[in-house]
Amino acid sequence: MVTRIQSKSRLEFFLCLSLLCQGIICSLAQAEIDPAKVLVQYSFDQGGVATGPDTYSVYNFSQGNVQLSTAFSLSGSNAVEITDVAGSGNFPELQGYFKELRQGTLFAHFAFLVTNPEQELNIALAGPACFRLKQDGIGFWLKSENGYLRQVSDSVPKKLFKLQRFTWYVVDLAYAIERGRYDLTILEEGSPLPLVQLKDQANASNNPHSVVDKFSFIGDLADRSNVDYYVDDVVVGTDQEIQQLPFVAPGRRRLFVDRFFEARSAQLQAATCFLPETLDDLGLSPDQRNLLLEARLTGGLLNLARLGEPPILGDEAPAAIKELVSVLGVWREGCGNLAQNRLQKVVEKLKLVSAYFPASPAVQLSYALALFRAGRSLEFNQLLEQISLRWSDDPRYWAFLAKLAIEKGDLGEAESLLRIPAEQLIGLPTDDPLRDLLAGEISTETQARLRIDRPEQAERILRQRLVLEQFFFALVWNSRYEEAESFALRLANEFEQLAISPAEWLGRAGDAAFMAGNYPDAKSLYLKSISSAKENASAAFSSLKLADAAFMLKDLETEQLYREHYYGKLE
Amino acid sequence: MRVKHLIISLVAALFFQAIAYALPDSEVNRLIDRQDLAALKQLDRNALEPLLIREYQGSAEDRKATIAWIFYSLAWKSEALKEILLRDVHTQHQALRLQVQWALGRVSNAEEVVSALVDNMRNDPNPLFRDKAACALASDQIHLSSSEKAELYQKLIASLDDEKLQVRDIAGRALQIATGQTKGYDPAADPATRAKQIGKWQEWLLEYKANLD
Repeated sequence: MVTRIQSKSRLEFFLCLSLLCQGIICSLAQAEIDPAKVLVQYSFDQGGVATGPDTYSVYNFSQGNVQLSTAFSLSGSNAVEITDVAGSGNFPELQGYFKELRQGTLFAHFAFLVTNPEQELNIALAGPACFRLKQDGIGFWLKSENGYLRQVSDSVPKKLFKLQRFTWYVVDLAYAIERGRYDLTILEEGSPLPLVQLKDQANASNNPHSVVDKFSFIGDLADRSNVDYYVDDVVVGTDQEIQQLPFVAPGRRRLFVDRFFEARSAQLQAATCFLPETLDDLGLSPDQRNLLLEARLTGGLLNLARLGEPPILGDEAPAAIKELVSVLGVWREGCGNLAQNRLQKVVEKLKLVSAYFPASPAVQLSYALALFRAGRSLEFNQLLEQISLRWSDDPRYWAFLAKLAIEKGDLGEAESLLRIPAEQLIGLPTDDPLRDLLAGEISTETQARLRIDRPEQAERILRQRLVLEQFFFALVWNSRYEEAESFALRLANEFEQLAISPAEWLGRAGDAAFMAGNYPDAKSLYLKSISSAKENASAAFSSLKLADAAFMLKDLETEQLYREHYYGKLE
Repeated sequence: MRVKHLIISLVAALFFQAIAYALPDSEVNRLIDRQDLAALKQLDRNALEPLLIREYQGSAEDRKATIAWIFYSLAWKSEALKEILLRDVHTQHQALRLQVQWALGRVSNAEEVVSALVDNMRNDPNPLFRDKAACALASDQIHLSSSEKAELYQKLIASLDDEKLQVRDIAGRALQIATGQTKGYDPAADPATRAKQIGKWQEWLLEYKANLD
């Protein structure tokens, strides 16, 4: 999921621009860093405190792009994705600025992951003379060229190491401004020892007393790069503790199951809305996104959706944006009502919001939760069926179902339902779409036709599907992973006997095995799921889980293979 | 197979020629004379480039200078543009010479371009032309790979020991613009001192070349 931000002209590379950032929220670092010594700090996740009002800008023109993404992140849910397009005439840039430093030591910490390391990228710290090799220009410069990461030191692009695709690298820099020298450490994901540990390197142009006041992440200047890379956990300051920021835990990456555990944790604390993680999580239309981009309100709108902080709109703001802000204001009120259990009000409000954001899993799940709590069973069941078919791979949906099942207390029903598929499908041809409906591998159009042509049968199948899922996720919620795996495998077997695709339940069995720490079994089950899947979406998501399983098995080659496969599906 | 390729090339050439003639000459000329880069950039390169080449070749020197500036601004890497510009790299028409010197590195990374500019920087009788050739070497060689840059730096470092003070000075400035540093080089220093200073640049160049792929 991505949220677009905004980009810049190649011709303006040597100019210092100072556009206002529109409130991409910063989060707190995990080390004990003196906040007074932090100049900038962002992990690109929501729910934290902004370090400063104008700490960074994003520049997007033409086909290049800078956007929030949940596809890869080192910590939290999001990172920033920077995509350049060769021949576009421009380059995208994430540029951050801070108080000018003329003396002392600057400490910087950030992480990046590149998907196509043969393409060029550039990362720099610079001063008021901007991004040139000169006094008070570029102080620190990393670039990739022909697949190798290089540091430009003493005006020489010095080779560091060969970049691996889909691998997080954490960079720590201690830059002594007066001396114009720096220490550089780079850690590679999966390895506890530094890949690079250099001391006393000459700054980019070997100019002592070269001040710095900004950093920048771009593609290339020559307009030949199609690089696609991610940046996360940027911290710049004067506290040496910044260098001690952990690499999450050496070798640790954020796994797909983490989103389930986070959602479970959130739901355990309070029955409240599922908050959108990115702007794309709201399911905005392209026109809405473009309007927000032009008005530089992407971050402001997300702030409103997650924190309830409305952006400041001028009178000249387009009506469509005012409407968006107004609806999200209702959303926040509704979420507040839900937390206070004021059910009548919350259903009215979230009904309005859900009609406005029909493609948002966060909004639809929240509305479903409100309907459930208000006892509006018919509407709840109909909505849940839609969610089940559309977002069955969203871990928030898993947590939601599990909580419902536990609250309803009807876990016993599911066991008996294992026999029902046989009864419902006897006599139906093997290519009957009801089988695909039960398997969760059906197009929206076919589903809609079934609802019109065979409403009762479709209804029964969907209801059954939900109960089976609820039972499974309730087991997982309660950490009964072996039972969950066993249940899912039995179901997969039943489905296979009935000529129904077992892919989804093989995948679920793999999920349970993964959560139990049985990574070899998880990997095997995901492979079976992929090979039996009919729909590309199912296979794609299993590739992502396979990548995580391979990672946990320290099989980095397989991990890269499946992560590339999944990543290709995102395009 | 060769005949087939020949036929395909001929057809393509005729096709693009036809497209070129589909663009009204008067319109392109108007844009050239108005120096309307924004509008020129909107046009299809395949159609526009042969028209611009034709206009350049058929124009008087003042107008050639304008078109050379357009080539500079468009920064199209092109063998054909390199060829026509190189023909004027020694012209005595001031405006045209300066535009050609600046534009060459923006249309080509060929070794002969760098060599021609270095030759102008070191040997042209006109100090203005020498100076602007150095500017072009410092700022406008945008298509050079890292190894090609190494060759450029080698030529500039060699120029640090030129018999002419101005050449030594502008070569040093070109290196400073390209690298951000002087390594303490003083073009007015005595030969022995200069030799030591040049030695630092030569060491630097060795380090640069050692980091090439």
